[in-house]
Amino acid sequence: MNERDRSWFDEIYNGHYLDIVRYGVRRLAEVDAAADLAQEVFVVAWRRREQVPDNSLPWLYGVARRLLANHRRAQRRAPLTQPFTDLLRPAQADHPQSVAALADLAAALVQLSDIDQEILRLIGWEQLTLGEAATVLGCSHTAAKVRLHRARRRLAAAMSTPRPLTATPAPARPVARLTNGAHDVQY
Amino acid sequence: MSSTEQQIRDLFGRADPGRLASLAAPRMTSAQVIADADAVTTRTHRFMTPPELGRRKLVLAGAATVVGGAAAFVLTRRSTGARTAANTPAWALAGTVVVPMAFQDDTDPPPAADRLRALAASITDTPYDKRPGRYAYRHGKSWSAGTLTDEGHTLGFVEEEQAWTAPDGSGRTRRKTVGAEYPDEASRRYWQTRIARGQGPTIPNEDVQDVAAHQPDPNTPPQPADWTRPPTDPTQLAGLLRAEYGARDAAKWTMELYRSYAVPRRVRAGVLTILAGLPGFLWHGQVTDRIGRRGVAVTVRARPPQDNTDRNPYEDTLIFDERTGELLGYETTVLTATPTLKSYIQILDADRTDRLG
Repeated sequence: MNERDRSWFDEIYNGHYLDIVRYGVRRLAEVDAAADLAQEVFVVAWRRREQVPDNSLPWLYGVARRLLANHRRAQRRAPLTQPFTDLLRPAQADHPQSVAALADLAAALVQLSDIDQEILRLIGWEQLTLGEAATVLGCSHTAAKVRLHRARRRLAAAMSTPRPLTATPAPARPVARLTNGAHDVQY
Repeated sequence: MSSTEQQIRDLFGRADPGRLASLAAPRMTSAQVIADADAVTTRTHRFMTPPELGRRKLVLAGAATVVGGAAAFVLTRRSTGARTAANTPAWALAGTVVVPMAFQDDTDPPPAADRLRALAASITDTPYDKRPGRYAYRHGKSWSAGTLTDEGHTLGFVEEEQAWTAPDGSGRTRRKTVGAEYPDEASRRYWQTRIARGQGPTIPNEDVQDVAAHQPDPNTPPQPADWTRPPTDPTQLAGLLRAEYGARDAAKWTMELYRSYAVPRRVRAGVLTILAGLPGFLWHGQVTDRIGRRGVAVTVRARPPQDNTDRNPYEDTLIFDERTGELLGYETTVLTATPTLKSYIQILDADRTDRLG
C-alpha cells in the first residue's frame, strides 16, 4: 500500500474527481450537487486514508453511495436516485436514439429495487467489474454475482412489459442540493 | 471482462446521463480538501445556529466553505490548534465504555401517546421561560461512534458544545473535546493502547466560531424574523419536526430543535403533543440518564432502509424532564444480539442571556 501522504491524495483526487462527479450526475441530475458530493467524498477519503485500498475508485464510489443514502435518509423525500425522466435533458439527450434508449431504460429501471438498479448502473455506467461493484455495495463477489443475475432477469422482464404509448412524463422535481447532513453521515 | 458485463455496458452506454455532461474542474485544490477534512473531523453532532429546519439550505458540510452564496452564514474560525501525542490529555488515556440506557421495565412498554399528552398538559416553567436576554444559549454534550478500524474497533470523542444565537442569527459557538468513549471493551483496549503510544487520531483543541447575521437571500424561503424563537403554530412546528415522516424522524428533529433553541414552554408542550400523535413511541417511565438526572423516556424502533446492508433495527430514545418537559437527551442504539450504543446527545442547559460567552 502506498504511503498515505499528500502526494498520494493528489493522485487520487486528480485522477478520480471527475469520475465521482459523473457518478453523482447520473444519480442527482444536477452538476452542482454532484460536485458537492464529490468534494465530500474526498473529504472522507482523506480522513479515512488508512482504509482506502490501492484500487481506490470502487471504494470512493462506495462512499458516494453511502453519502447519497444518508442524504435520502435525512430528507425522506426523494428516492436515492432521481427518476430517469428527470435526467432526460436536452444537453444529454443529443440524439433521438439516445432519447429512446434512455426512455426505455427509464421505464424498466424504475420498476427495479434500488439495489438492482445500482448494480446495473455500476457496471453499465461506471464500467466496474463485478468484483469492484461488490466493493461498492459492501458485499461478497458471490453475492454480487447473484444480485446481478437477478437484476438482469428483472430488467429483462421489465423491458419486455408493454407500456402505454402516451406515457406522461413525470413532472420535473426541484433539484435537491446535497445537505450538510452532519448528523447522518457517520464516518 | 465477462460477456455479461459487456452486454450491460452496451445496453446502458447510450443512455448514460453522465456521458455528455459538461463537468468543470474541481472547485477546491487537493490541499484545500485536506484542510477542510481536517477541520471537519469532529463535526458530527455539533451545535449549530438555528437552521432553516423546515426547508434548510442544502449544502455539504465539507464544501460549505467554497460554495459561494450557498452557506447562509459566515464563520470566523479561531481554532487554537490541535494536540499531539506529546501532550495527550489524561482523559484520552482513561476513556470508558458506554452502554445503552437501562429501563426499569423493559418487558412490555405501553404506547406513549397518553403519557406524552398528560406530560404536555402538566409541564411548568423553566427558569429561562420568563428571563429576558438577547441571546438564546444552549449547552450540550455529544458522542457518536465515529472512528472505525477495519477490525471493527470504534472510538468516539465526547464534545462539549455551547452556542449563543441572537435574533438576527448572529452569535458564537464554542466546542471542546472532553473525553473518549467506546461502545465495547475490545475497542477501548485497542484505542487506549494506540493513544498511549501516540498513534491515536488527532484530538482537536477548543474551537470557537463567530457567526455573522443571516443575510436576506432571494433564493431561499422567507427567514424567521427572530432566530431565537421557534414557531409556536402547531402546523409549523410539526413541519419543523418532520412529523409527516413518522416517529423516528420526529425524534431526531426534536433533538435538533433543542440543540437550536432555548425552547419556550408553549413549544415544549406542542412538541410533546405532536409526538403523542405519532404511532411508534413506547413509554418506559422514569429513568436516570448518564449524568444522574431523573427523567422519563420514550423509544421508537425502526429498521434501516432496504438498500442499507445493515439489517439490524435501531432504537432511538428521547428523555424528557418530567417537570418542565425539556428534552434532556437523545440516544441511538443498534439492536444487535448485544445492543450497542451508536450515539448520544445530552442537553445540559438552556438560557436567555445578554452576554456572549
